[in-house]
Amino acid sequence: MTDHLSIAKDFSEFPAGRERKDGPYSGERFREELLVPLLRKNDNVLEIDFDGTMGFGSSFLEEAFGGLVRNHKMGYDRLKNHIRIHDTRRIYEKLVWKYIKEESKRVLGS
Amino acid sequence: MSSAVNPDCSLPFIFEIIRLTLPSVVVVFGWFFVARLQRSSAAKQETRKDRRDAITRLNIDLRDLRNKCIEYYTDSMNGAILATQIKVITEDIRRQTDILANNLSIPADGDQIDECLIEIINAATGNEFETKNRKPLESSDPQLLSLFNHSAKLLMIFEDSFARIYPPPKNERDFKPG
Repeated sequence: MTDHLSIAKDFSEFPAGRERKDGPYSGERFREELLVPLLRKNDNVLEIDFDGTMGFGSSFLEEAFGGLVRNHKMGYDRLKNHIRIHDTRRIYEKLVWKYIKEESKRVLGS
Repeated sequence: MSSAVNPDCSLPFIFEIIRLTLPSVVVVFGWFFVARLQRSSAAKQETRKDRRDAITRLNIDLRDLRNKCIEYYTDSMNGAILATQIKVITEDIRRQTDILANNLSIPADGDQIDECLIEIINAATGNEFETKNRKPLESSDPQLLSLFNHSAKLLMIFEDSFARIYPPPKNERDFKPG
């Protein structure tokens, strides 16, 4: 089974900022209100659609996805099994996995 | 009556026809061949020019991004408008990079291109980008230096590839100043 999440439709076409204090569509808010509840709900694969937004700041992506490891101790292997990223621009998907991998190494040592 | 043609009469006639029409046929084929050659050469020139322009546009956007990032990161009072401009230019650079990599067919350098692009995006929009607690950086800060270095590296990949596909004329290559 697969759950779907579109950043543009379910969150904002203009995601920006790292923490909640940085604005209404920050990485932290995206992670805490959408990503974590969906990942914790069940073992379904979560397909995240990155298309339709006006680009992403690395700060947003790092906080949203690197924060899954940092704040929720979800490691690279677990996330790799549970997240599919749909990104026609390609590069943001690579960025996300880079942040998750780096944080996994740094925080969890794997 | 026999329908067979007398070979003694028809052969000279055929040769005569060939003799008369051959120059015209050669001229027409020659013209056709030259026209095709010219069209193909013009198309190659056009493609070369388009790719040169694309690299120049990328260079302009990279320079623009560097200037906007210096302005944004070295003064914490510069805010939302500049941040949006940085994101828009970064998107443009990403798109142009994809197109150029396809046009110049650089699969072997593909990873290197992505690596540069990731570092550029990271440096331009990472760390304290779009955050309230942003502190001004020195223009020699590693974050900005990384942006400058990877911009130059990305451009060099395309310049090298362009020079491989469209090598400069021999006399230009042999030119040694001084």
